[in-house]
Amino acid sequence: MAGKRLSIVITFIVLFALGIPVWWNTTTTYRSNVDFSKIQSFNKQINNTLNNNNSGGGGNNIDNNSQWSLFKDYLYSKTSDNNNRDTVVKSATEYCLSFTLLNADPSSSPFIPRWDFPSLFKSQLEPFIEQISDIANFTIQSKVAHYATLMKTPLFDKDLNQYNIPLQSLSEYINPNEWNLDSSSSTNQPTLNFIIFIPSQNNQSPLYIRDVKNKSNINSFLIPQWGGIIIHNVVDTADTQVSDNKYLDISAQLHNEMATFRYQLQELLGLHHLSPSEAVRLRVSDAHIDQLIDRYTKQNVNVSLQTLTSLAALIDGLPNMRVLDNIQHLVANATDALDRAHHCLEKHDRLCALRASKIALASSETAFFDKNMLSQLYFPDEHKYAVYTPLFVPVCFPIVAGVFQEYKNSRAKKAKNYNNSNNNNQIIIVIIVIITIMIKRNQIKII
Amino acid sequence: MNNSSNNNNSYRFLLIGLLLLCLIFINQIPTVHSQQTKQTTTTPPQNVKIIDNSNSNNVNQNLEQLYRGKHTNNWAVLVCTSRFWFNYRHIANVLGFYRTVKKLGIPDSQTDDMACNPRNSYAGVMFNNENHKMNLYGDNIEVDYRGYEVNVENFIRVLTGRHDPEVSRSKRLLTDDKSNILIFLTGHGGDEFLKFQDNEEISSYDLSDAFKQMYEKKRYNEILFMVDTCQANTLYKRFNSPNILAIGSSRLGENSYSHHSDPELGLTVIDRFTYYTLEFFENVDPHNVSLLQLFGTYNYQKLISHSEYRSDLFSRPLDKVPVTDFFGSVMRADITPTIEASKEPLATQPKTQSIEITEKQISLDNKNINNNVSFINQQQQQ
Repeated sequence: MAGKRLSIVITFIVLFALGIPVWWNTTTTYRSNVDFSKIQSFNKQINNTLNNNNSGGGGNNIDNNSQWSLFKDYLYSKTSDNNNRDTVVKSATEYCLSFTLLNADPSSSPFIPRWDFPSLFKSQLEPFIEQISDIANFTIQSKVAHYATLMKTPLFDKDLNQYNIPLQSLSEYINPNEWNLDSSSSTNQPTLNFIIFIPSQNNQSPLYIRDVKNKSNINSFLIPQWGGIIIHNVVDTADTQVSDNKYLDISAQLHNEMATFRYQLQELLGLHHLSPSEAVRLRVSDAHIDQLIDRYTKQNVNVSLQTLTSLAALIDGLPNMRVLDNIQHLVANATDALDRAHHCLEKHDRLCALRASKIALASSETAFFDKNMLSQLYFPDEHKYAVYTPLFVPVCFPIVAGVFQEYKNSRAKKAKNYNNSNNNNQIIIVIIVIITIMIKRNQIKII
Repeated sequence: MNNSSNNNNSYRFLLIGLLLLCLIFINQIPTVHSQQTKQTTTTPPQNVKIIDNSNSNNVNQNLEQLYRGKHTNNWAVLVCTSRFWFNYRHIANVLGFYRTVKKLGIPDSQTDDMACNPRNSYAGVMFNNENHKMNLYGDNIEVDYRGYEVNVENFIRVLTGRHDPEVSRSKRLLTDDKSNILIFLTGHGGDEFLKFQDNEEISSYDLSDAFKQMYEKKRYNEILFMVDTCQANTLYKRFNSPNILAIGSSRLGENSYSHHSDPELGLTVIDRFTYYTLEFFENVDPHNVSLLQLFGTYNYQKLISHSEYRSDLFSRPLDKVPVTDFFGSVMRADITPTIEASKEPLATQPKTQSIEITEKQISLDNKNINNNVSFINQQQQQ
C-alpha cells in the first residue's frame, strides 16, 4: 500500500520535472542572435575620435584596419549638409511621383479638361527621370480628379480683371490635404505630389497668387517635402474645340507646367538653385547628377548606420521583445552592403557605392520596422503571479502534501525502528521554499 | 440563462452597434507660413498670464512667430479607448479635440460614428455642449482606426511604425525628426494603466517603451501627451525619452469628472478637462497663446481634480511654446518660377529602360475620375 502511494507521488514529481523544460521552452521569448559587432566597433571608434578631439589631442591617426574609416567623414559632413533647407525629401529607395490634373468645378464649366499625360511626361520629364533613375526607383502615376474647392473664396481684382490669392495667406486658401487625393492612389511608397489646379471657370477664373509687394502674379509653388502645385488658367481660345462630350484636351497648354514640375522635382531632390538656363534644359549636367548621387549615398549610409545603432540599442534595452531570424538576416545583409559601399568608396566608384547604400538602407529599415518585433505588454511581477498561482497552487498542494505524508510515514517507520524524533516542520518549509524559488527564479515570459 | 439567451443576439447586435471608438490620426502635411490676417479679439481667461510682446522688434509678431519650434510638420493621434453609449463623453472628447486641431491646422471638418447609435435622438449629430450649438459631427471626419481595430497592439504599432506591409500610408504615423506630435488619450484609466475597450489595458511602461523606440528611430521632434482619464497623471510617470511634455487630468487616486449631463440625451456629454481645453481655444487667438497659458487654465475648482504636467523631459520653457506648435500646423510654401518648356527634341533614345504603361479606371463615389493613367517606370533595382 505504502509503495503504491510512494510511486504515485514520485510519478507526479517526475511529470512535474519533465514539464519544466517544456514550460521553459514554450514561454521563452525567441531572440535571434543578431550580429552588431561591426556597428558597435564603428560607433566605438566614433566615440573615441570624438573624445580625442574634445580633449584636444590629434585624433586623426586612423589606421586603415579600423571599421569603415571612410564613413566617419560622412557622419561629420552630415551636419553641414543638413543646413541647406528642409525642402528636400528624405532619402528612400523608391518614390512615387503622382501627377494630378485637378479640376475644381466640372459642373459649372463649359468643358471638362483632360490631358495626354504620357506624351507630356515623355517630352518634358522623362529625360530627367532617366538621369536620376540610379538613386531610387521612381513610379509615376497620373490622374484627373474633380471637385476640389478652395478653402476661401479668392478676391476679385477689378483693375487686373483677375481673382487673387494674396501670397501672404496662401495657406488659408489652399491646403492640398483637404483634397483627399490619397484615397485613389494607394501606394506605400513615399509620394511626391504634383498638382495642376484648374480653378472654377464660372466664378474664379483667371486665378493668380498675387505678390502685392512685387506686383507680380505667381502661379506655382512648392510645399517642402510634399510636392508642387501649379494653378493653371485654361486658355479658352477659339480654336480649342470642345467636342460633344465636353472634353477639352488642354495638353498643348501644359508644357510649361510640366517643365515647372521638373524644376520643382529637382528642388525637392536637392538640386537647388539651378540657373535659369539650366532649369530650362531637359537634362541636368553630369556634375549635378554626381552631386545628387553623393548626397544620396551619404544619406543612405548615415540613416542605415543610425538605424542599426538604434536597433542594437533597442534589442538590448527590451529583453521582452521577440527577435526572429529574419532580423538577423536583414542586419547581416545591411552590414554586408555597408561593407561593399565602403569598398566601392575606396575605389571611388560612385554608382557602386550608391547601389550598396540603397540595399543597406532598405534592409536596415525593414529590420527596424519588422512587424513581429513588437514589444507588447509589459508584464509586472504581480501579473505573472496572477497567471501562475491559480495554475500551480491547486496542483502543487496535493503533491506537496503527498510528499510530506510519505516523508512522515517513513519518519514514523524510522521512529519505530530507532525511536528517534525530528522536526518535520523544517522539511515542509524546505520543500515549500524550493518550489517558490523555482517559480521565482525562472523569469516567466509570455509572448 | 434561458431568458437571456433569447436576447443574446439582439444584445450582441446592440453591442456592435454601440461600438464607437476612434483612433483618429490626422495627417497634417508640412504646411505654409500663414500670417493670421484675421486677429480674433482675444479675451484671455483671468488667471492667464498675458505675454508681453512689446519688447520685440516687430510689434505685429505674435507668440507663434516669436517662438515657433523647429519642427516642420505636425501630427495628432487622438484615441478614444472606450465604447458603448454611456461613454458618449469620451468620443465627444476626442471629436472636440479633432475639431480644434482641424480648425487650427487642417481646415474644419468632422467625424462620424456615434451618430449611428440607435439611442441617439439627434440622428447624425453630436454635441459637446448643453446648448447643442456645436455639432461635432460633420461629414468629413477621417477615422483611421475604429471599432475593434482600436486595441493596444495597433496603438503601439502606430506609434512605433511597425505595421504589416499592406497597411496603407494614410493609417501610418509617418513622422520624422522634424515632427511635432499631439497625442490625446481618453477613456477609463487607473493607476499606471489605461483600459482599451474593456478587455485590454496599456500600461505606463508600454507607453514609455513605445516613446523610447520612437526616440531611437528619430520619429519625433517633440511630443505633447495629453490624457483625460481617471488617475491620468500616473500614465506618464515612467516616461524617460527626451522632448516629451505630458499632462494628465487627475492625480493618482482621483477621478476625472464629466462636465455636465444632457437631459435630452440622458447622459454626460463631455469631460471637464477636455471641456475647459476646448473652451480655452474658443476664447483666445490660438496663434498668440503659450502652452503655459493653456495649462494655467486648469484648476481644481473647475476640474475637481488636480491636473499636473511633467516638463522635466521637455527642453523649452513652456511660456515660450505657442500652442500651435502642437495644436495646429503652419504650411510653408516656396514660390517657384515658371519654367519655359524647352523645345529641344529628345536627342537620344532611352538606354535600357522598360516602361510599362498600365491604364485603369478608378471611380470614387460621387467623384468622377476618368482617364487614370499610370506609368510604371520599372528599373532594375540594385
